[in-house]
Amino acid sequence: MLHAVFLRSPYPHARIVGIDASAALEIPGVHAVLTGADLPPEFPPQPLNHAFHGQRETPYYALARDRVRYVGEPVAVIVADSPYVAEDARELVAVEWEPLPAVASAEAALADGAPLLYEDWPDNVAATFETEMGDVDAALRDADLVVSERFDLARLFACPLEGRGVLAEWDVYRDELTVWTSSQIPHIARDFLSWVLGLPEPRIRVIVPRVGGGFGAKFHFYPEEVAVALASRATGRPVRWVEDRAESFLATVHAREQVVEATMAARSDGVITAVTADILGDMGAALHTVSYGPVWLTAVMMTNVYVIPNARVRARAIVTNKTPLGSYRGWGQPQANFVVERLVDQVARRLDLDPAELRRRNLIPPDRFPYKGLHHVFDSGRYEDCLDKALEVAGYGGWRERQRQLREEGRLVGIGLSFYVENTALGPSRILNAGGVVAGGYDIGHVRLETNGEATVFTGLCEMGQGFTNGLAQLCADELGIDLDQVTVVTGDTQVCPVTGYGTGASRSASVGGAAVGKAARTVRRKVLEIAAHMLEASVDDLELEAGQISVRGSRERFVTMADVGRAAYLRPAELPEGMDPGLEAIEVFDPPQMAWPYGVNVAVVEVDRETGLVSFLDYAYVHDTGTILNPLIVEGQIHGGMAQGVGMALYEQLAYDEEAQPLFGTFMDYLLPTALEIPRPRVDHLVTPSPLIPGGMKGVGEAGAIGSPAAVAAAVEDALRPFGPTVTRLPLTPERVLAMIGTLGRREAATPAVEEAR
Amino acid sequence: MKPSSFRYCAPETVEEALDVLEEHGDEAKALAGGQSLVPLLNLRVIRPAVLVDLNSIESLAQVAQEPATVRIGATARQRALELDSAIAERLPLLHEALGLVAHIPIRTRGTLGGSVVHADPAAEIPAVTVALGASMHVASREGTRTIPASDFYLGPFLTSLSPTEILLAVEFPPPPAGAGWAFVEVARVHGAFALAGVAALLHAGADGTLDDVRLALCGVGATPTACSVDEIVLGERPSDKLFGRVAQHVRDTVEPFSDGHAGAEYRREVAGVLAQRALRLACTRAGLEVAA
Amino acid sequence: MSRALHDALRVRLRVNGEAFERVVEPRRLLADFLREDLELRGTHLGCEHGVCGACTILLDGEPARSCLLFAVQCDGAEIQTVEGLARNGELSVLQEAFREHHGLQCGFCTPGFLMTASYVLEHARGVPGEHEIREALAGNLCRCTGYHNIVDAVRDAARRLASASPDKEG
Repeated sequence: MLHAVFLRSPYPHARIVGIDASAALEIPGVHAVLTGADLPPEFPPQPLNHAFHGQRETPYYALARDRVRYVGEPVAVIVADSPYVAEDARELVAVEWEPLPAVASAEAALADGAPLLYEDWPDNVAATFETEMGDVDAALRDADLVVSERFDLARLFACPLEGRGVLAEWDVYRDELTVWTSSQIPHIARDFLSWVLGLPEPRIRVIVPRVGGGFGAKFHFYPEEVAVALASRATGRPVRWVEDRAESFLATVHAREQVVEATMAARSDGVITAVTADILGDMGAALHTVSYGPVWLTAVMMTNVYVIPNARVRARAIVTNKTPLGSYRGWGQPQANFVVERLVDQVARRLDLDPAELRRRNLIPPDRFPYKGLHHVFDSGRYEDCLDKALEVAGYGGWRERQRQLREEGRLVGIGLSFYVENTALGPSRILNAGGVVAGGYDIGHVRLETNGEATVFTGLCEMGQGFTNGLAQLCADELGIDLDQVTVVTGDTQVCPVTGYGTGASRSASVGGAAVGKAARTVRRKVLEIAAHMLEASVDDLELEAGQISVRGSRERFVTMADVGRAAYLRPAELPEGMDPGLEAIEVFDPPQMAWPYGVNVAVVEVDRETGLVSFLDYAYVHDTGTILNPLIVEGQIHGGMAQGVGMALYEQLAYDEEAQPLFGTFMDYLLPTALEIPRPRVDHLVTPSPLIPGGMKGVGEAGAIGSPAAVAAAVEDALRPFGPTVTRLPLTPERVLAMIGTLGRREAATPAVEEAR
Repeated sequence: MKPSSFRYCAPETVEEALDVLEEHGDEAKALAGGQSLVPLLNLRVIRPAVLVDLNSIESLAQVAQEPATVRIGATARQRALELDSAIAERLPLLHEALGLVAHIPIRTRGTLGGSVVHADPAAEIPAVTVALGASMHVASREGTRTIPASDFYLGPFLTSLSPTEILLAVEFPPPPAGAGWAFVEVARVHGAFALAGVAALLHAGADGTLDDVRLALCGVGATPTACSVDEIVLGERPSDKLFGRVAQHVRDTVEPFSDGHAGAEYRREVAGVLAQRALRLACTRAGLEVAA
Repeated sequence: MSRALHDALRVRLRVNGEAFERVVEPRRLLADFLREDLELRGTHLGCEHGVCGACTILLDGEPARSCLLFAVQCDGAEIQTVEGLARNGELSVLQEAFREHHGLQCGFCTPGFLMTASYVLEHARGVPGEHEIREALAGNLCRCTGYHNIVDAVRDAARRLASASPDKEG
């Protein structure tokens, strides 16, 4: 096996004049150096899975051809006996660059005379999406209160602790390619590899082993997957690339970054009448696999869980000289949630209403479901019940009382809440395709009862730690009346697993994947019962299936085991009913009729150190409804993890660039992930309202924790800072920003220490 | 993130190590705990041709409790020092600072001398050496010399140690009996480098007035920064008002930098806050009452 | 070894009680040595600059980052990796507690947490408190779990170990 490393652009924007790899190739142990010049002229750019109406094309390639548009863009792949030697050789690859002016932010990219990333475009706008309902102008005109804010959400990224990795083996004699890759989209990756490499899909096998976290970052089709395959073809050897941490900050898609100018109108009784938003999504240098999907989702989620009859949103996807933006837990929902929930808090402040009460007055009531909002149809919800339960679990009234006491002692304690809704069970295919998604929204489950009476589940979904394999095994075991241990789940291998329409994302594994597997297991169960009925000379209706045995109701001694049935199905077809085909497996498809909409409430209680600006947690409550819960431990684990990432977004994480679009990050000293001491332990509780749309009623919970937590933390900090009056509109809330909001900074000429003044 | 090639030796005596450094000069780098050096090697920020591993030189790891001083060998591990009850007793300020250095699995390898020589302006241990008035014992083939901590740090990651010298030991004079101490800092997440940190040491005479106050700061300048407050505090009784004046003086004195985590203005502000907090805590530990 | 400079060195060490001997380049990181040369791939590399803690092993009984050590520095050392925790196919008390408390999701950081926690449990007097555990684990990053179930697992393991050997109590 050979090892690949990538030479990446050190410039945010430059022309490649020439590349000389001759010195690198002279190092013993170096096998190949490939550059964009090695790609044939007709070699296609990286395909996208999302092609929204009207979006411009931003072609980029496995290896940059003649121009780079961000620091970290892959320029050459160096293949050697070990990563050590490959890195030695990389230092000897000489590139002649012609630097070009760069743009470092969406707003800079829109300025007059800004450098253009794509010269044939009139500006740097890759796409504009607009949507509207009701009569917004009238609502604004008639409102008793209008609040407007500009929100600024930092660029950050999923940062799975295991970076990406690709191992490709191109057998040039059989003309078959096998790629092991850390992907959430094995089938899409296989198809895209085929389109780019010109090798028919069936000749490509993509295998996704267990992956060390993805959170959306691995829902993308990356240049390295193509380049490593090319490197294997060029060398005739298996080639492995393992992303190192330093390059992960540049080479894996970034997320979240938006500037949103938004307005909310309300009546004096607290009823919200309109919302508007103008969203600038900083897409980085190109539209990556999911295009500007996250920005679009922010746009269409702008009414959140509220009955807001009038809404107008514009979202623009702007290209800049930064790493392409892509998926991260929640897609565009944490941003939309932040904007709407922050505006709701401003309305509450201005009307002097408790933020919980204001929310209560605007929640979609249970009898309005299915509810059509700005874009989606929400399937079900008991929002007010959820709010009540959250306030109870949080001890909201008690905290308000304590807050009053602590404020009198001069302590800055704040309580913040947010209400979120999450779209899960992504589908249906028709709607996704109409919206521009290349792949479908279905999932296929394959269940096979084996000769020994155990079952195997095959799914194209990928396990990255979410634990859905456990959920699928449970569903299958329950249906077939066997032990959990008797179910093997095979995931993410395009040669043996059925196609998963959309891939592993959008909190759809347990819901859509689970429904498909459940359906297949039921089909197998029917056949099991038919076989058993024949063997027991009984009617199917009289049979019971439990603990691996099929028995006749009322006479337990008349039974056959699952292994008996398995053996009959495969080894002794003579024991099968007349006319029945051997074999005992089923492949079933589930394409959800609509998405499912779990929801929940975060209540954060924080204290701000008025002198240092540090934020610490005093309490955290999390109450949600995700429909049927297959495994409470796993669901709670998803909430914990998502919430930790939301807290990271609220307080710590930022990928900052300077004005020339040079990254100011490169290690975990610059990019701060919260530790065990930073994350509050939430008290989690739930309601269970099964989804009416999903067999089994599961809704999905993968992203929920990350969606509402940033807004709740922001609200709590703002509430803590109430004596100073600021509005929290920017994340992350660094201690510096907090002190600036307190007003301590920039006043050092003051005669008395600022600390005392603030009291 | 793999280091470039180097040749390696692990001498067992200081003399052998000095010979190698003398021979290779700038091309060689001494390796102690490696907790700062190896990341730089892995990132290929530095590419020494020769790595001189000091970890086999037993004498360098010794801690000597002398009557008048504590002499800590350069490669004594931070974790070992943290768990050393004699250090906790005689150099409580150092003990407190050690607990703030990164995390346990870093401190098990990280050395006192490594942190001193690396001279990260945000690091805790260099500030302690300044606050306590430590002396650096240094050797080269020409002989040994002693450099006061106040002259040792020249800039970010820059010391008065020449490439052919090795830090042998840091000698700390324990604070006077009855002194109070405190090391406080602000870091964005646990174990990250401090945005600002303050080492404080104070002592009051029998009449309750302060007769020795030392402050050293990290994270707020190119080097660990001693801040003399004698004119403000000597002969005064501890009070919040007094420490407020100290805080203001600290803010007027420090010359902090900006980075991605915080701007200079924040660091300046918080340096004052931390100075006040450190002094208050030091008073408590010295059994001194702090008036309003 | 002395002042002689080496391009390659023979390393003899024990890993999980088993003796190994290899000739390596001085620049070979202990983590790569364990993973690639000894094929002990339980030790994971998450950052290669000492922050994430995934590569934490025990070096002569103390937790250390194997990405910040060169294999040549470990000549004569006794190393424990995650592979050494289970005995005869039985998970250790700590590992079992991780499983029961859902203390891992993707599992990438888990080996590092287990090794750090092993050290914590080994040296704990009695059952450490929640904050003490969090502080001890703060040098290991996890992106999946939000840490709470890890903390619970370690605490539970500490309880079980303390009740198994009452002299450790107090």
